[in-house]
Amino acid sequence: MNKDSEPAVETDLLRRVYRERRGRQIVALDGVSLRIEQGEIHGLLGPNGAGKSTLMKILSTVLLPTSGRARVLGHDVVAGHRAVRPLLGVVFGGDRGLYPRLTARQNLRYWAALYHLSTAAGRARADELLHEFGLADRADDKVETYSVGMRQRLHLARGLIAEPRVLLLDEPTNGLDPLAARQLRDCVRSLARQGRTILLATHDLVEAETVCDRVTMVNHGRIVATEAPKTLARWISRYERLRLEGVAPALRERIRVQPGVAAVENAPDGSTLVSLDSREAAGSVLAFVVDAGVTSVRTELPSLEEVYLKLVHGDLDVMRNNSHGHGLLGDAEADVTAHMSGEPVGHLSGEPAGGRAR
Amino acid sequence: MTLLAATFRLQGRMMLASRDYWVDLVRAPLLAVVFLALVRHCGRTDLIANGLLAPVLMGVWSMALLISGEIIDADRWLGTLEPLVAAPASFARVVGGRVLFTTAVSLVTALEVWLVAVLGFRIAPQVHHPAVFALALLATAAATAEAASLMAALFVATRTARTFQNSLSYPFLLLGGVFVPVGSLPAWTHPPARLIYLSWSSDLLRDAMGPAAVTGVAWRLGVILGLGAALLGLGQLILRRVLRLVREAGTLGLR
Repeated sequence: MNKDSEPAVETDLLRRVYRERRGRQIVALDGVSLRIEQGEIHGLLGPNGAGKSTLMKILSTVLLPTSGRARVLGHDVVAGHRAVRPLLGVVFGGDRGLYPRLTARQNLRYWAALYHLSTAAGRARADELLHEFGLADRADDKVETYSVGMRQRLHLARGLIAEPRVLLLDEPTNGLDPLAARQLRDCVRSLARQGRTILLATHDLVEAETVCDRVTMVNHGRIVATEAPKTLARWISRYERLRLEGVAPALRERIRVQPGVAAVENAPDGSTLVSLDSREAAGSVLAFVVDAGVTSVRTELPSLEEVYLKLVHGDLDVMRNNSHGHGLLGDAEADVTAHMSGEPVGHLSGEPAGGRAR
Repeated sequence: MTLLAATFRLQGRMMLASRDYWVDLVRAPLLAVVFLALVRHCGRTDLIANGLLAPVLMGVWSMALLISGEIIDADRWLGTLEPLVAAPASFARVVGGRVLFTTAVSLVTALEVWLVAVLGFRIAPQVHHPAVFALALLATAAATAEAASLMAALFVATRTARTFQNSLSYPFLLLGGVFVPVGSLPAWTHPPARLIYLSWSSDLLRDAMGPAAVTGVAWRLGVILGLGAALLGLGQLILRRVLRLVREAGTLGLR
């Protein structure tokens, strides 16, 4: 097969089981089959413990699968790990992975040597990356003096030292402030424009949505769905709910019996959570609570875990069908993004019919 | 060559950045003071060579083995162990390069001990066969680096290798004739002692300091290097197996 037509990453019924000392088994990956084309930014979206990092580690050859196969650009990650390693750039998540008492330049030159770059080539590549990632001015300062954002950029630079064709990023924006996270996402997009394949593990839907071409949702080691981020965002917006403040018990009971209301709960902070059974219900319920004198209303989306639960409990086909039609949001993806970041409804653009109040 | 130079530079910078790495260079002159004071107190000038060699060999052994473990432990702690294994460079060569650099630095103990003898005790250590002495010291350093590579493999396998390392040091030094020549130890210790390269090293170094002609230099050096090579081979074998095991178990990056 032509190497250019090989998928960048391909897994086939990949399974990984961890065995604890007491004999208990933990299934981290359970039959994961995935195909990522060359040049794609592919998101791996799931909550903590979903199996994202396990998949990343198997692809990066530091962890062996229990069964199944994984290939990077046609090379098996177990039998052909020596061929896989030069093709990959690996950025594991978190604050670790650098020598903090060395400078950024020293770190990068060391890693360049580990990827078999000559001294001159390593020096040139390190300088180039330091400049590209805005670290040139601090290149000779110890990494321990860097901010989290600078370290994360250095991590990314380290992953790119040998110009890998496939880049594995495990939660690269973890711990970053919003501005630094946005800068890093811009970096990721620009890397994809250079023709690299990027597999980005994240638990942040906004990140997946704004950066990725396709997203695979994983939960409990299984693939829940692989879709365009637009589609996933639309599915998730289906489970929108309202958070109301200052609702008297009597009004709470009246809300409970409104059409389209699935449940009404008291939140620990004293607010009232109204779950809707469809996106279409939002307008009429909003109108009802505003008319009843409620002045503080927020729309919010459920956590990813809640969405996964709904997805794996059989709504997937229904949602797939619905996603081809017209939901309340239509194609207003920016609107969905704002929901996920917990913006007050009054600040949202493209508000659906029915109005929202605060 | 680039990789070896890079590992040397990294280890040098790590050592400059952390005082922990220098403990043995501080301890060696103190031990020299103790040993030479004992020799002088007992009036045994014939044991000066022993008093000088013991702290040097202890320093070389201890520094190489301590740091070989430290390399793995520190990389595991810093989160660099997984990216290191995921890199195309041979893990064994990277660790080997760092250990080799450390062992080379540990030879500074010889200079320290010499200074202690000259400045502290007004003893001018005599090395009657300097070429043999230098070759024996280099062969010993090489074999120690190879032993340390084996120790590094154990640290990859288990995070509790430190206990093993600490408890093994003194029996090895004792059987290695570092404190007392193997010939002066009970006869039953001789067969196991002769499997330890240090026993050949310490005998050859002592002989090189004495006035008598040194016999069998080539084959004795060969034995030191051969036993070191055997340790290196064993270390490589164990490291390969251990890396496979930790990749299977998923414990490579665990702190």
